[in-house]
Amino acid sequence: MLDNVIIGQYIPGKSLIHKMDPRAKLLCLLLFIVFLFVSRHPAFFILAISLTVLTFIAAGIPFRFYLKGIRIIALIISFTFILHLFVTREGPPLLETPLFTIYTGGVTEGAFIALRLLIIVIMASLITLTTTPVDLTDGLEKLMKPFGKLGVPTHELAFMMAIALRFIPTLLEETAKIIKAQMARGANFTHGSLWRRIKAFVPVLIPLFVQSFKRAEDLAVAMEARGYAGGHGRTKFRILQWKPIDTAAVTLFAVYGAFGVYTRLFI
Amino acid sequence: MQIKANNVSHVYMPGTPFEKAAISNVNVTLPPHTFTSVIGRTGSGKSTFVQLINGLLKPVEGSLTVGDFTITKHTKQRELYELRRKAGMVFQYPEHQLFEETILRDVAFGPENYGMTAAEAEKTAREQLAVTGIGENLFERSPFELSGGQMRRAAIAGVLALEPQVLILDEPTAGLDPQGQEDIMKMFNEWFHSDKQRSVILVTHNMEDAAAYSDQILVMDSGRLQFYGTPGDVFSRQEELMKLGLSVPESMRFLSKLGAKSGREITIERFRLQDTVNEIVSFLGKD
Repeated sequence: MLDNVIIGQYIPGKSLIHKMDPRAKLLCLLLFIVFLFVSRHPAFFILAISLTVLTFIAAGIPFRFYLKGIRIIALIISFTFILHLFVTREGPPLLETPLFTIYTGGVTEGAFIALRLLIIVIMASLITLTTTPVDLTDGLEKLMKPFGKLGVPTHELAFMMAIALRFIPTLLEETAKIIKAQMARGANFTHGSLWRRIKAFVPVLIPLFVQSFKRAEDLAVAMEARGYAGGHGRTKFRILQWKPIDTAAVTLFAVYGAFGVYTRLFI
Repeated sequence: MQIKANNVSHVYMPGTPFEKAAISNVNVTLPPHTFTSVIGRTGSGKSTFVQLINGLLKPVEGSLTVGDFTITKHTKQRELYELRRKAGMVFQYPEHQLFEETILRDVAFGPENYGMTAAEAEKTAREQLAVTGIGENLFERSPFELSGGQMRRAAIAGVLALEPQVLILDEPTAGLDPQGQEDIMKMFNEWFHSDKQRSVILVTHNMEDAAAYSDQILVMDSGRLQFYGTPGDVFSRQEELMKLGLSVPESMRFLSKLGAKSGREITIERFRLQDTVNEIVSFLGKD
């Protein structure tokens, strides 16, 4: 049942997006997200969606695989939409019942938020799907370097993120294993009231925590044994290379951002 | 209980880039009250096969019958739930599943899940902890305070407490010291022989264990059942085993070399220490 989680997974490939510099990918994502909230103009939204579709096609991730993975996130997005439907009280009422009233403002607001969330999630997961954790950390570290002068522990932050990403699949595997072991002892995760089902996860979570702490300690010891002493003076085996395609991609997303600002200010 | 695999196949993560065939077209029958070992190199599909037997996984193709249960890909979870009580599963490193505040309560977890009252479950837990050799002074301690070997025993007691008829063991001795390994295997052997209804399925990398305790050995490679038979049958096919990355028990290697060097007839299918000693003594006696 945990087979479908795709967050933090990397799918090897040779697509255009796979070959891009992680710094470029991260910059593009940053531009994409920031400017998505600048404008609400339909033309701008069409551009944003086209960019998402374009990136998706260029990444060459099998659509069916992706569809399965996004199921849980779709649930959260639908929930946001429904929440907006009932909470936002703007515009003329659309539907009036004795219990609640739905306003047109709620529908459009909900749709906007849901759509934004959806394309952000798609874009963000495309990065982890096409970038190895090592590349991702290197990219992040490089991008954050200016903040290092202000005393931000950039290397440590990037490294923490890399470790977290690296261990998501391991943790999922471990969870699946413990779930199986407890199921073999008659634990039941699919029947009974919601409260019972939540309680059924206690026998999974406790061993999972115990294992994680143990693993963290082992990892720390293994790193120290290989001479790890933080980021200072640490050299890189693999050097990131900025290619023309990276410039092109960042330019494309910058144009998209400029268009967003333009629609906000002038249309 | 008789266990029968009928053209069973299993695939992990079907329909994704990570799709992987784990088991292909396995056909085998395990008669009631047999001790069966499954050997094969890492990734040969041993663990997948045994998880199919107690319904933790469902076959993608084919069917399995375990006693009165038949498992196909359409079988409902509710039925499998009942099956899991009859076929207890001890995973690799079972101590990773301990979670309760006290050992006694952890062992009682299984029986309580299957509808025993707290008092009954505690009684069963006490009995099974005794079977696995955990002293009463430890019953109220936290499972996380125990030594590795004791944790393993407590976790095994948690599975035995379901009172299964088939006990499935996935490398139960991994990571234990030699004495601990021997003790645990002897414990399982006693459990098996103390009731004519019981069966054991052991997944192992240890050829000595497979030889010493089994009635039947299954040899797996690349998700396929290569061949199977009594320990004598299986280990006489030394060359085939070597090709599959497996070996034969130490005692057999010794006896076959002894036979080859001396040029005399010698029975090499001796798997227990005592039998091996007897064979050597009789060999020496002929001089």
